[in-house]
Order: sequence, then C-alpha cells, then structure tokens
Amino acid sequence: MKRNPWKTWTWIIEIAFLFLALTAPLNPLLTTKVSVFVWCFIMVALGGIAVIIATIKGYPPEEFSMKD
Amino acid sequence: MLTITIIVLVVYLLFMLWIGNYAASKSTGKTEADYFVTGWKTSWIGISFSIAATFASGAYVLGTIGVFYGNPANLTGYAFGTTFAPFMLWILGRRIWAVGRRYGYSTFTDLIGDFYQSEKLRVVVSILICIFFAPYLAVNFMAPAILFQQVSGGAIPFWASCFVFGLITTIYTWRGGMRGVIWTDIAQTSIMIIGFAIIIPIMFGVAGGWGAVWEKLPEKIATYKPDGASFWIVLSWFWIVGFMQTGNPDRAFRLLVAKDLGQIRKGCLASLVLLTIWTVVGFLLGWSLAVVIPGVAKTDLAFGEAVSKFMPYMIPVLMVVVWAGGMSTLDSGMIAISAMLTKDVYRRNINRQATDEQVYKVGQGINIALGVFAFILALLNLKTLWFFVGAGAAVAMQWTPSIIAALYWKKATTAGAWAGILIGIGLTALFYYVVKCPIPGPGGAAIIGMVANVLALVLVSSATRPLDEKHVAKYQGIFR
Repeated sequence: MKRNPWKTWTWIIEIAFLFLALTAPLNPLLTTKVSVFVWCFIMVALGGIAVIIATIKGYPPEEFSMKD
Repeated sequence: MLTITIIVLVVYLLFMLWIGNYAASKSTGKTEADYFVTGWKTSWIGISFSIAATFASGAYVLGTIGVFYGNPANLTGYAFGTTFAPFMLWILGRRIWAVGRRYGYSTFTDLIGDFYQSEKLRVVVSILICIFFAPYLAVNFMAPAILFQQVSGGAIPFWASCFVFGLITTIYTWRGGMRGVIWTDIAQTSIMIIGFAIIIPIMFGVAGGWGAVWEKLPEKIATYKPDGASFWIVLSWFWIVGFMQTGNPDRAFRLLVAKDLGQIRKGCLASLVLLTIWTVVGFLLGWSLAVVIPGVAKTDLAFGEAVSKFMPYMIPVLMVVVWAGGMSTLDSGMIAISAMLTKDVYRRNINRQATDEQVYKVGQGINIALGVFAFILALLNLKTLWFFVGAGAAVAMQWTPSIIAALYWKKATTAGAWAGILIGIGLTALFYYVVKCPIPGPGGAAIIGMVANVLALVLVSSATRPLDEKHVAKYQGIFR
C-alpha cells in the first residue's frame, strides 16, 4: 500500500503549531500586546491549516465494513 | 425593560419547546438508538452547531468572558485549545464513529466495556464520570439565573429563574432526546452568534471605537508575565479547552450520531470555524469590557454590569444569549449522562432483558431526574462558575487515554485501562477538590491526572498479558 505523504505533513504542522503556540509565553519577542495577539492569531491559522490537511488529505474518510 | 426582557424570554422558551416537540414527532420509533444517537442520521450541521452550542455554555458567556476581561493575554491558551480541539475530534472521531456504527454504540463506555472486555470497568467508569460531571449541569442553571437576578435588580429571584430554565430544558430533552437536543442546539448557536454580532459593535462604540479600545487596553493585563511566568497558565487553558471536546460526554457523543464519515469530517471543519468564532467573541468582549468597566472584582458579573450600565436596551438580547448558552450545555449534559446510566447501569446490570421501549422510557425518566437533581444543586449556588466547569471537564477527560489506546494501541490491556483511569480520576479530583494544585489555571489538575493516567496505562499494559489479537483487530483494523 502506498504511503500517504500528507499524513506526515499533518503531524509536522500540528506539532509545529503546538510547539510554537504553547511556548509563546517563553518567547522573548512577545512583549507587547500587539505581538502577543498577532502571534496568537497566526498560531490559530497554523492550527487551522493542520485541521484542514488532516481532514481532507492526511486522513480522509475510509471504507469500512459493518461486519466483523 | 424588565417586561420586554420577560416577553423576549417567553418567546424564546416557547420556540425551544416547539423545536423539542417537533423533533420528537420526527422520531422513527421508541428505540434506544433513536433516543440517544438519532438513529445515526445527523448531518454535519447538527454535529458542528451542537458541539459549538455545548461548548458555549452560560458559564462561557459570563465566566470565560469574565476571565478574558481579567487577563486577555493568558486566554491565548484558550484560543490554542479551540484550534486543537477539531484536530482531536477528527483523529478520534473517524475511528470511534466507525466502531460505534458497527457495534451500535451510543456512549464511549460502550467502547471501553467491549474493547477491554470488562463489565465492571464499563460501570465503574460510567458512574465515576457521571458523579463528577453532574455538578457541571448545575452551572448551567446558575449563570442565567445570576444574570437575570443582576439585571432585574433582584426583582427576579435566583430560584425562580433556575426553576423556569430547568423546567423548559428538561421538557424538551425528555421529549426529543438527542434529536431534540441537537435541533435546539442549532437554533441556540444561531441565536448566540446573532446576539454577539449585535452586542459587540455597540460595546466597542461605548468604549470609543476600535482604536480607543486597543489604545486604552492596559499593557499589563494584555501581555504575558515576564520570565515565562505565564507558561503554565497558557498550557492549563489549552489543556482543558483542547481535550474537553473529545473528553466531555456532553459533546463528545456527537461523534457517534453522524450519518457517515463524510458528515463527521465536515462537522470537524465547521467546528473549527464555530469554535474560532467563540474565541474571537471572547477576545473582543474581554478587550472592550476591560476598557469600559475596569476593576470589577467578581469577573463573572462584569459583562452583565457593563450592559446594565451602558446599554440597558440590550438586556433582552444578552439574556437570550446567556439562556441559550446555558440551555444548550445543560440539555447535552442531561442526554449524555442519561445515556450512560440507562445503558451501562440499567440495561447491562439491572434489567438485561429490557426491551428497546423500556430502555427508551428509562432514559426519559433519568432525564427528568437529572433536571431535578441539577436544579437542587444549583440552588446551593456554591462557587464561581468556572470551578464546576473545570472540575467536570478535568475528570471527564480522564477516559480519553484508554479510548485512544482502544482505537490505536495494540498492547493496551484491561489492567492498564483500570490503572490509568482510576489514577487519572483520583489525582485530578484530589488536586481539584482537596489539595491546591501546583499547576495554576483550570486545567492544572487535568494535566497532572492525564500524565499519570498515560504512564499508568502504558506501564501496567506493558506488564500484563495483551488482549486477543483477533479481538483487537476488530477495533483497530476497522478501516483495512
């Protein structure tokens, strides 16, 4: 079965989102209210991209059987 | 203004009753599947609007926005959590729906009991989640009643609002089951979005416009604390909000009701949009309230106080928004707990020969009992709103590692699930109710509980005999 490269991209983007978002309070560049909220919404956009890739490309709906 | 508010609320309540009754009329029969999972006929609109409505509780409108008001920067963790949640919904939801559809599940404890082949585990988890989650139901009575008492200057007593609110919600949930809950949730989400779209621009106008709000917003409450001191609070909010959507039974069970996987996928994407709307609403109101009415000590009351003081003509809109938020979360909690008690306790352990119609009627009866229970609890009016929301969510999400393991990890064992869930729930409850948690914020106890939960699950599973390979393959190989 051919490996789906979008699965890898899904996790790369999701992990990047989690790392960059959750370390925001440790980021020495985010010291003003403009930088805090601009970064926050950039992270929301990045996380949103991960959701879109996961649902459409990485893990699209698959066939399954109703029987065991 | 009080008379107009009451008239608007009465119209809203009658509308909800009509939807619940109409949903009941569309029932395809008095069966467990129809009452608890809509007979697997829900579309993406129902899934996403219902998740969004359940998330935006009365406590969100007053409590969360109150916290945003107190420190908007720390609530960036909340924004990260609402972005993470749809990802979890899809990764977990695609498999749990397929397994649930194949084996006729209407609760997550169905999966836990069947995969780990333990009736005791199913019942214990079900009862524990119900015990800790039940106070959350009461919160949804409290927020609308607190607000009504506040804006009516005490003319409408707390107990009277609680009574009317609980009565109407219980009636339409009892009548319509999950279908009634989802259809009213669609209406309630729409009402909340429209309400916020009206209130927010006016609030910004009161504050002097967008530029003035941004200029006057104090730097010290809109930035992180120096030296990384805000890290744990951001992580804490992220954790509780991010895992709440797949952990709380009131909204997570929406993953079981879909018509097909395509509807869940669209539902997750729509949830991303709707949850982001709640985040933006929270920020905008938090910012504007911090400028319009600074220094309110009890932050739950800031929103109501600002509307009463500066735009009293908006009180009817605010009331309907808060009541819609409270009802949408209460009805979802009632139907979820009712499903677990009916299936796990009644059908599995009290009356194994129960017919579908008997189960249906017991489910309805439990909904009424839950409404009465939550009403009585709400009258005690104990702590701040977010305490109960956080406590309920923190404990409920402790079944998540065992559910993920059942769907994705071949080595998960029954002993591992027991160890993980009991340690997770025990530690979370300890740090929420007994000992001060070393991690601040609403998700601190949940983080400690979940980390210990995962460690216990992995260690004990690794040390005990794995489940039969063919049995595991029925769940984890469902897409092959």
